[in-house]
Amino acid sequence: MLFNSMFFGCFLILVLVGYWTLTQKHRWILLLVASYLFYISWNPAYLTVLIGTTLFNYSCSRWFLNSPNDSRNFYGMLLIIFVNLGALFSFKYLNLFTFESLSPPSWTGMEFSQESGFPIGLSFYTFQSLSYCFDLYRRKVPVEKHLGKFALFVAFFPQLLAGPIERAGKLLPQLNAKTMAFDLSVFGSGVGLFLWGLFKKVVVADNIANYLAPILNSETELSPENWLIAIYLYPFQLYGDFSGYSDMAVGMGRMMGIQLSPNFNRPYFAVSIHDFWRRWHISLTRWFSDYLFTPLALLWRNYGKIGIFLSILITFALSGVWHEASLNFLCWGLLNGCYLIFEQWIKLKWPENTFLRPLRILWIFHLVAFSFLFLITRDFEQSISVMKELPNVDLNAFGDILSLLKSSNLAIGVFLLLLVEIFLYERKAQLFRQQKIWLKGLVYSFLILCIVLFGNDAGSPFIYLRF
Amino acid sequence: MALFLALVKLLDLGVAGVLDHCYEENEYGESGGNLMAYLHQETCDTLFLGASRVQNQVDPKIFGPEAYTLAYQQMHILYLTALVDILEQRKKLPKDALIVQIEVEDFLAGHDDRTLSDIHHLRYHYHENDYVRKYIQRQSKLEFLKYTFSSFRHNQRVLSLLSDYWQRKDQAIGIKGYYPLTGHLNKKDSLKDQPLMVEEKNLAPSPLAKSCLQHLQSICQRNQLNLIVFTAPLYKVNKAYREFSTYFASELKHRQIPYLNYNSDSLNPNYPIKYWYDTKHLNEKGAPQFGIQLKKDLKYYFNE
Repeated sequence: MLFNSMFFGCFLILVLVGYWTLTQKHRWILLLVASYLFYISWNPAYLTVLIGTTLFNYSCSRWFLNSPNDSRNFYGMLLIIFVNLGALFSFKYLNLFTFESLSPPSWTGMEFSQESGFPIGLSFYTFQSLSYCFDLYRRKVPVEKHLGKFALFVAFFPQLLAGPIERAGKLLPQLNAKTMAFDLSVFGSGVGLFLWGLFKKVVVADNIANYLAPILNSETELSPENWLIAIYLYPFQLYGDFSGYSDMAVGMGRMMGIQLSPNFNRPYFAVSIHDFWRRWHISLTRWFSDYLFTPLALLWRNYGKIGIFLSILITFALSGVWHEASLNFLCWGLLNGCYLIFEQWIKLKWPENTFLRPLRILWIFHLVAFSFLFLITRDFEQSISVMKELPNVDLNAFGDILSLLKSSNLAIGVFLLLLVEIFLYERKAQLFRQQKIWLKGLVYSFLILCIVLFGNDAGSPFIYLRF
Repeated sequence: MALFLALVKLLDLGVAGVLDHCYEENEYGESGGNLMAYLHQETCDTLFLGASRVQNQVDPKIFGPEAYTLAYQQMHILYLTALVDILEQRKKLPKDALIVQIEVEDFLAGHDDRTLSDIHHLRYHYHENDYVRKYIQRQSKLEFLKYTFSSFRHNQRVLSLLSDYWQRKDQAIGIKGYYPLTGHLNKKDSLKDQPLMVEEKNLAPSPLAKSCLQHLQSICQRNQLNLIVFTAPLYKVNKAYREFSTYFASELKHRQIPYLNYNSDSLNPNYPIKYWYDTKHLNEKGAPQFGIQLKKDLKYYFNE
């Protein structure tokens, strides 16, 4: 059941009607049932993994992490990490050498072809459960005694499959709230955010995918001009797809009066790599920062910069592999780690200048877009060959391809996306929130019309559901 | 909330009204223009129907002043059948004969997804045509919800429709639907780029294509129209293609539909390379040759 399907639309309306009809005391039951039904619609068999890990984490957190005995806490935490990462490893990485993308190069003569299934959303809900356990271990949050609400914290359907990865300290108190009154303005802003997310997905991302998929899946060799177009378009596709999903999730939360964390903050307006990673997939970056980078940096604090740089590299390498067990994702992570290290190392100080700012933004966009090359190529060998080919771009042919794109639906999508992002970047969002309700209604109606007229209705899955 | 929904509906109806007007008036391009150009003409005697291999290869002038070519690029049997259904509904079927170019591959079950997806290109006719609606709804039970928005019938084609309407609305493509291709296939391409081939692994016939053919035949019978099917020549075909062509021919024979397969040993004209634009299409030199050949072969059926 994809967020961008009519079936999900009907499901959401039913859940919302039920949610606001019931009393707060019983809403968690509806949400938990809806979340499990939503998960079953993907693959009923893997519901056992979701329920199994939920029960395990609930039991361990109550028996071990809630204990005044420090060593019991410590060994309990180790057990939780071992089991959670073990489940993730078993499903995602055990067949590491069976995925084609990770197959050794052909010259080794080795060949693996077996593939196994993967419980959708496992990477996300495992990290969310782990964050609860880490925070409980550090006494940052109280233990959750209510099994049903803990299960809902893990499986809350808007963010179950691809985040945002919520912290217990933020989500659990909202699920435990004694009262939650219907607020039309909050509900309306949720609807608006949901529509904006849907627009990003079906008008921006899917129209770009329509153009890029035949090119990237082509069995024939691509010209460097086509690769260059793909390098420039893919960042918009990925952003539209993933931030679209996140916006829809946050929007759905708001419709239920639940505040979820935003996952993106106009990342392509970042003025440094560090700034970019504060704006891109925020919930995952924070997770890695809090639970991996900071402990590592503290552990190696005596080694000075080397310790910090090593922590950055390990964090980014693992972040890459968290996405997918492939050499390309590892390289993507490492390349971003190198960008960040280089930035920290030379301590590049740009003068604060209004005219230089767009140049910095463009520079960072190009670095990021280049790193995404590893995500769109078949394998590492192809990534390298594309890099070698890129300098041979024929600018005349490039012009022909651009003129083809000019009148397509994707041009409309990217244009409107940039327009709104610039509007938001200029901090006009507050201005919009203060506007009269009829003006907001007109903007939302225009958004709906854009989705109806320019949206790709094929119901393509979200890119991050793969991870 | 009710006011908001009313506003959405109002905007939707307004936009749909403008776009509907553009669609009905525009005679240029693949976003409905070719069909409208045909509908705006006087009813013809003979209509050639198909995809690009009709648009670029069948010059209706060769067949007399009352012939017309109606084609949409890359469309398959379901789309063509739905198009004929729309013509019947709009009382614009030809007076004498419907001559349809059908690709042999359209009859393979493995191509059904592609065939089915074509129907969305006729979504403009969703509300007025039962046949179009039936196949659109076949793809999802909730598909009808999308069509509660009147403007959804123009989904994904707004830009092309508006640009066609503003720039060239009265300039229908080609003459009576015929648009010759200039340029020719070079030897290197003829070896490298093989023509459409039938996959040898899966030669199961398609029930969907059969039902389309049946529908096409029933419309023609109902309107006392001659139905003739042909498959235009390809530069090269493989063994599997020939084998499946035999099945396709037998299916048409069983239904007593005359069939001309220009890739069969008996009819293949074996045009030289200079007559080809690419491995699937004849160029402006080859197309008239093919037209003359087709006219000669069709005469046989009309004389009967």
